[in-house]
Amino acid sequence: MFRIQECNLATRSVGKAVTGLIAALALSLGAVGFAQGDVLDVAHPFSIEMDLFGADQGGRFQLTINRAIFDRLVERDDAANAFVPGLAESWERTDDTTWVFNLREGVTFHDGTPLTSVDVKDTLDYFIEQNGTLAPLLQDVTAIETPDESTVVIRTSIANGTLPSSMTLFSIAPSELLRNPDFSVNPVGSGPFRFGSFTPGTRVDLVANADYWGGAPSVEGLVFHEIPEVSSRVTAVQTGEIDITWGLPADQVAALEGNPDLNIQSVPAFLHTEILLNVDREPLNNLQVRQAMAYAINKEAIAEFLLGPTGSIATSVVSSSIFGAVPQEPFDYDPERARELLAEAGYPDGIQTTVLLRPNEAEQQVMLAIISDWAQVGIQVDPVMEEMATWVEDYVALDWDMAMVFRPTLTGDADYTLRRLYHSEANRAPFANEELDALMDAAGAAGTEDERLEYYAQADQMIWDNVWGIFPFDINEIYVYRNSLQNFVPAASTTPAFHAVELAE
Amino acid sequence: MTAASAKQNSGPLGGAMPGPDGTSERLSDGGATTGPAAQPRARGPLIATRRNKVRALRWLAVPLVLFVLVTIFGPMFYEFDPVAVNVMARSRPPLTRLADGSMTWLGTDQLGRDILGQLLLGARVSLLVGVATIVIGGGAGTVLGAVAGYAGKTIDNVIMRLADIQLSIPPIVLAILLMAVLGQGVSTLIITLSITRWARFARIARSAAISVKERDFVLAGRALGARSPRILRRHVIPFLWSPLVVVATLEVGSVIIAEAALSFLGLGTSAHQPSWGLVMANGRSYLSQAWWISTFPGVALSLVVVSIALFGDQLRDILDPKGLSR
Repeated sequence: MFRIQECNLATRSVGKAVTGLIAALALSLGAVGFAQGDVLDVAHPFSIEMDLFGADQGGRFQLTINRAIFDRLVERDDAANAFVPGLAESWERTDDTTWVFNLREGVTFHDGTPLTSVDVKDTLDYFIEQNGTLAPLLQDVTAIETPDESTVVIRTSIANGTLPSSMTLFSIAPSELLRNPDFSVNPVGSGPFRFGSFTPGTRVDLVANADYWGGAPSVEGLVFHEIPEVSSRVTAVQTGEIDITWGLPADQVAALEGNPDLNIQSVPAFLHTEILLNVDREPLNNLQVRQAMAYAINKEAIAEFLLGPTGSIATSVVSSSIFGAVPQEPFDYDPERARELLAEAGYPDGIQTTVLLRPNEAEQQVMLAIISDWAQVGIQVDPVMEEMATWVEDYVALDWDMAMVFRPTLTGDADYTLRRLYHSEANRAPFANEELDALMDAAGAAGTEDERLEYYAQADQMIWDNVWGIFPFDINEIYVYRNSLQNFVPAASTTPAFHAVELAE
Repeated sequence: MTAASAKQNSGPLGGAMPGPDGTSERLSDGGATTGPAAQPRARGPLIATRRNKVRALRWLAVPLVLFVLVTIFGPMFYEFDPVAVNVMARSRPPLTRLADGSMTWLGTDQLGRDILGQLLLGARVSLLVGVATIVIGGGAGTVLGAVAGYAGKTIDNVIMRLADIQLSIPPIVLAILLMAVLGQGVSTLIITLSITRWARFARIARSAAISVKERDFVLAGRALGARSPRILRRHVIPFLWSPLVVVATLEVGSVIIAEAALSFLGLGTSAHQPSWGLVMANGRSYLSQAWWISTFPGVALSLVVVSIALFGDQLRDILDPKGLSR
């Protein structure tokens, strides 16, 4: 059929195709850069957002990746649940409104420039200017001084005892580069990993920093993969494509339990269910109605059957693993009492209201279960689920009857949630008032931990007894990682560190 | 039957050929039929006589009638509360007897809600949204299209450009916008789908109106002084009836799928109004552990839409052989 010449042509073009294919394969393998065993592959439960210092600077993905690329003045030791020196070798409170941080010497950024107090000051100023989600932690700061290259003095308007814990969230960037418009997609830090490459929607590659002051990481590279679908993440960790992931619902984990290569750990996270009630609206302005709602939830059943290893019944207004969580008198499940309270409040036929929800499957499921319990006693609640953009708008504008989220308290200190969000200055809680403000300010300012706890006990009790919010559950985070990893600490903050992790083969 | 018409009806190989009205005559009996009129004989079921087509249509209508009956009456006989959740009966497989003694025929979802109950309520949503969208969107589209076709020139241009604009907006984006403004729910769905689908009806109505515009009876009507609205109403719209019925039938299936898609993405009904798309979305993280959550609504959706498509195609064969509705 073919002439000899055509035959040769055909072979040649096939040959070219095969060579091309081999070349393409080689290139793609080469692009990975390392031998497969020396790279840590991580799938973060939230999407990759390379907007590290922008409006969502407190987002969990941002905090996780910043923990790898940058350093902070104070670091948190996840295993010991304590604060340890970071860029600051030591810090002290010279008076009520002044903190002095002494920086360690010899730290350089990835581009070789030395890290000095000027970088610290400029970075913190930038956070204050940006007024993003972390800015309220610095709302008392009046001045940041740099008397010399290795000293930073932070002055506040009122006594602030929580500044060191807040400092665990502020990553320090080079002052000359921070304001570059493309800094987020090309970040330069001083941390254990330097930025390698970013493929939007797919992955971020980080390379080990051999000159890191804290000792070079054991792995050569750290890759964050974008796999938002839970079932895909589960498959990826089973096949070994991913070494570590977390943020999995209990149902998915059941399938992994028998797998000998995987380690599954459920860790009490700095996370709890927060249902805020808008006390400016009827019928939620009535204390008895709110109490009825608290009594009508069958927490035991939901915790046991729905949350399973991912949750437990809460005892305070923040998760029990948080400093400042003082246990309160529980609202035991009592639908009869709930009905009585509603009748006493003047609503014998029940009430009708709504709850605002965002597109988070875990949050929605818990809320639907709670709504089902409420329906049993005549409390009709319509779930209002909004797309993220609309939700943020309505949520921040307090345009809701009730709002529910899983609230993270990222510093492990109740101040992060209570004073940042429930203070009247923040304008994020309908129930904010001066009395509560005073308690939270005092708790933040007090000199000793015991003093702080006393104030938190009072603040917690005020919020709890008035049922300004309903806090049914503490949420655990489930981490899944390969058995061949050493030194990985599943962090309660859900923003783990990776520079001590070893891949033992 | 005359010899002339007998010749007309024979094909090159001398066999039977369908005549202009779709009937066919076999000629082997010499073309003579007994009786006062040339009544077409009943033919075997595979031969495309009009009578056979109508018979086929009746059979194809059966699943649709069943669907409508089950949708309307099903929830009356089957107790189901879309708000109630049953955390102790999560993700039970089909045909399990639950702790309270009841039988779950199609299983439960990850919050313990019965799948069969959700399907029955979801059928109502599908039917309601499907029919309402056709009536509202289709009705508006037909009127606009007929006016455009009949009036011609500027009005035609304006209306057709409106259609182009609407077709260039991605439906999902429109759904997100409308949900942000109007909130979740069936009425928002109907509005969204009406807006995204009227143009199809408009196009068909317009081409039918154009083809009828120059007909003698229309010209005669205008010569006699009838005004446009009357002509539209009495002459143009009846002409559109056949192709539009076909399109409407086929579009119902299409709209039901679009509604399922929007609900799947969370842009449709709220969590307390189970829709087939919503139930499918609920099950998508559980395909390996609880396949029944997504599978049964998918099967239901496929069956309904295929039935509608087959019925609609057959209807088109009968009512609109000229293909105006394509």
